Amino acid sequence: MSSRTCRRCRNRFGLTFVLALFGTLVGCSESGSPGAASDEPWFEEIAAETGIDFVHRSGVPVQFWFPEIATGGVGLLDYDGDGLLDVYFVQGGALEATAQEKPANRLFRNDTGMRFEDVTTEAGTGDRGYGMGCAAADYDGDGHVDLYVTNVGANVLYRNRGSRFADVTTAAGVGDPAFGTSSAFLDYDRDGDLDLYVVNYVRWSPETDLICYSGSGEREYCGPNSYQAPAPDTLFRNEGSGVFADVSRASGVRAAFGNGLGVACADYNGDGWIDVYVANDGMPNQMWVNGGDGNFADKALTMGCAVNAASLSEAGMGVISIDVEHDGDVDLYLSHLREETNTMYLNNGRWFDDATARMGLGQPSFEFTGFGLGFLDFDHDRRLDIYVANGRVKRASPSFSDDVHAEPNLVYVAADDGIGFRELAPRGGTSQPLFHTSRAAAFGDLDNDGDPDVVVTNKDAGPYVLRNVAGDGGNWIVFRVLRKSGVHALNASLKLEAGGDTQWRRVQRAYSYCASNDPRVHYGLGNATGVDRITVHWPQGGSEEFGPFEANTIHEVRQGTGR
Amino acid sequence: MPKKKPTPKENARKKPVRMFVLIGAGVLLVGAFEFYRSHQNPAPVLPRRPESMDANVAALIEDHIEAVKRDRSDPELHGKLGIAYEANELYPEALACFELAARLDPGDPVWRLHGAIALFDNGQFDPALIRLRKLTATHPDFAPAQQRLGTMLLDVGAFDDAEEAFRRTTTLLPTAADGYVGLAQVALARNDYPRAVANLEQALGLDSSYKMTHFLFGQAYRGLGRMEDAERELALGVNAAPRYLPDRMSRDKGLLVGGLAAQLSRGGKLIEAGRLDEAVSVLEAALRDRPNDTNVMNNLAVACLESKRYERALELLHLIRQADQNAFPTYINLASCLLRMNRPAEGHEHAQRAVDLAPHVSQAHFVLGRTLVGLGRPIEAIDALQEAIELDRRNPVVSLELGQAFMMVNRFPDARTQFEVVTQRAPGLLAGHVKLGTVCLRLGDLEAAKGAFESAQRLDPDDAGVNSLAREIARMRVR
Repeated sequence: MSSRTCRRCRNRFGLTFVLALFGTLVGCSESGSPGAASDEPWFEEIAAETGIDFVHRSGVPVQFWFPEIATGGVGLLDYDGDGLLDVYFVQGGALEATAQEKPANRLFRNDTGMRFEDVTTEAGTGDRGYGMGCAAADYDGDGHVDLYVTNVGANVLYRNRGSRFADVTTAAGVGDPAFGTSSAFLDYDRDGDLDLYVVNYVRWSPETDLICYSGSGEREYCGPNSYQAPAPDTLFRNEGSGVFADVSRASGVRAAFGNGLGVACADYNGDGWIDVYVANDGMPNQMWVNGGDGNFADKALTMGCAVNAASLSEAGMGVISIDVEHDGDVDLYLSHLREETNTMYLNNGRWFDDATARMGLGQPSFEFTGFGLGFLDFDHDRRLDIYVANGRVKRASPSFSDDVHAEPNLVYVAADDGIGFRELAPRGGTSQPLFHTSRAAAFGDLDNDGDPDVVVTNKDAGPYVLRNVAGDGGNWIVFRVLRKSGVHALNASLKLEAGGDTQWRRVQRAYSYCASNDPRVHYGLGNATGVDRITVHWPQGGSEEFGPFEANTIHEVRQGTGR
Repeated sequence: MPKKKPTPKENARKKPVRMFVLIGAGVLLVGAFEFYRSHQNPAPVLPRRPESMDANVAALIEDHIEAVKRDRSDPELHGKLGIAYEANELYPEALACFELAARLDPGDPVWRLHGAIALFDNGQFDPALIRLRKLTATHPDFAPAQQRLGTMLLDVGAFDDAEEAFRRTTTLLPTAADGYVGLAQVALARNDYPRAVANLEQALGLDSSYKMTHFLFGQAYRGLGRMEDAERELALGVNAAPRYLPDRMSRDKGLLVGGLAAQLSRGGKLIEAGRLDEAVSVLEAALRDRPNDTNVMNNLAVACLESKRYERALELLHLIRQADQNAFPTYINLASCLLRMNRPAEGHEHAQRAVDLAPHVSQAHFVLGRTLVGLGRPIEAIDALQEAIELDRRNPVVSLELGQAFMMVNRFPDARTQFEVVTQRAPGLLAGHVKLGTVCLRLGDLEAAKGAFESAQRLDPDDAGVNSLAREIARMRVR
């Protein structure tokens, strides 16, 4: 990377001549940061001030159990309906411990915007499975957001009864016993209730664990392909009355599978039906195209999003579906392993093109292992920015801290050429660089001040709570997009028009890595003081227009009340 | 005006100045000599973090360092040390070596090429590109640099310059497919699908084993709306390994991989590439360094198995089993080995043990099914193979085996279904087409049999199975 070039080396001969007499050489320093720190910090790391004292535990790295390197999910959900996002941390623990010995997942209630209180016990959400991720949504339409937790082993569904959750896994029939990672609620059959897609990673058990080594001969975590045992995913159809049916086989989603880690649902081919895209680790990704008749077919290869432009499977970790070109179709961005790039697939209406390099997104990500990620307009300049949480899965040089897997996270800001992105300096968007082994990242406006904040989990460490302080780039607007029933209209797409400018967004909770996000739709407006109109395309079909709206306000739009 | 003679007092005053000048000149001379000496005979580049190096890598690097010390003025030795660093992913050290080699022999472009490669592999894309641009400007006839440059320019969207670099590559090496593949990639980037197809046809004519051409054909056909062709070609081309034109040093690189993980990885790649003797050599060397390492033994056993060194494979697998009685891969490999040695009954015992230990692993059920086929128990084999498919649908060979098991019990429609799966998932697998043709004949579907035969013939017209199928089809026609 240009940031690590040795700019002073042009004068090295001169230096050598003088200094050789004293037997000393001054080497060129490596900054390790993205060029000159020309930008203002965009985030303040305030975890210590928030009351969040969660510390993630992956287990003791003696056995190098495979799941230890991937654990660490997080969800943002307003569980008590007070308008503030609460935070749920998914705990790993120790694979060899009994359930009672394992630390529990923890729920922190948001009391005043950025002060949180541990309410795990009273809320009843302290699952002690070896946790991976979570998905939040109101699956039963009772007005309270529910919570699904994926584990290495049986998953758990918590039904929210107001302020307390009940474990309804068995009754609902969703305790998928595999190695769950990301999961997503979606209405794939357009019957009005939310179904559930669960991504599974590898058919792993302590008995089938393998031994692997680092390049320097030390014990290291194996990659998923060492196990040659990719796990099939599971699709649960919501039958109503709180019961789900496993339709994985009948729907066709068992026809192909890989080492799944990430999921992003959207109508990728524009036929009005929600499709499912699964990011696989070291194997071709799947694009489950929804036939509209309950059947899915994997079209990733012909749609150009199974492998990158060089034909290679990459180590898919996190994924997001986003209309980065604002042309009405849905693009994809995936985070990958070190020495691969994070990859941007642009949807041209017929298939996807790997546009990573031409959008300036390849090189900055090449030396990092990406996991959680989000596309948001953090600085309200009307252009989408990117946050990527990084953390190695294998040792590499240079080390950034005592934690051999630690890496800095990255922020990309929309480049001035209007086509691509450049890395924000300072690296990671904070005034001081942060180095941990980051995994999930969840995005949402924690303090309801109009800009999106970030919560990042770190393996075997406390999380980052990143308050957005990204300058005064412009005005903003946020929409709560609800169906008639008051449930967030997941996968609805919004076309916003303001002063001749058009921006597309979608209502989505399930993106990033093992994370659940703020379902409200956020826009930066730049100088625009209002919005002329928004057009909402509902996931069950049909569209409505709403507006005009004033800027710098959180608005609610409900199905059936528009034009 | 006559010069005034200095007084003794003045002379005494000037003495220290003269002394200082003399000493200074001497120091400068020594310095200049030292500079000249170090410039012409640079010291070998030492590893930055020797403490974190694998012992094998350290020994290998040390050998090359010693070689440089014996003749510091030899650019080849500095360059080889660089290649040793590069092969073991020690890129900053590699770059320093290549810079020394290039300084000692500015006329040889290979060192500057590897300097750029080391930068690129270390993630320093921009400096690598700058160096390649400079190198191709001074050495426009160095084809490996042109091809690398074209690939990198393609990545940054500089299509015109990339096209020029690839065109230059084809001019320099008209019999190599690589330049045409690059030109096809440029055409694809410009959505010029007919031109891409034309370039790919050139490439395919020069090298039919270049897997990337299939992937690119797939993209071009998709652009032309030929979706069936696209699907087939994309499937054939997935995970094509990136390929660069070799230079005289890159051939040595593979032999200088020293670390255990790298050795295992290299062994695996060699097995995949069918270079089995080399794989065995690499892994036997790894085992000599770590004689008790079961992981190395297992990899070596696989290489021996693939290269038909069954006795050695068996010996290793029994050693692993003694060390760890619960390692399921050992039992899978034992069963496979014994099957190949035509000892299915013993193989079956191990396969069953593998299934007991790893009931969720497809290969365990697969090998169990194969041993059951070997024992003439097709009904049980069908159950095992169906379980294997249920656990992992990626491996078309399982469907092939299941199809054969169905054939054994005259379940021809089921066999046909399996062989159709094989031909769809692995259109390049000859046996799938041949078996499909055969079963179609059994079912009396001559047209389908002919279709399968034509596909098989395209893959290998000289194959005995293909010719046999042709004869059967001819007989059927006669009837």
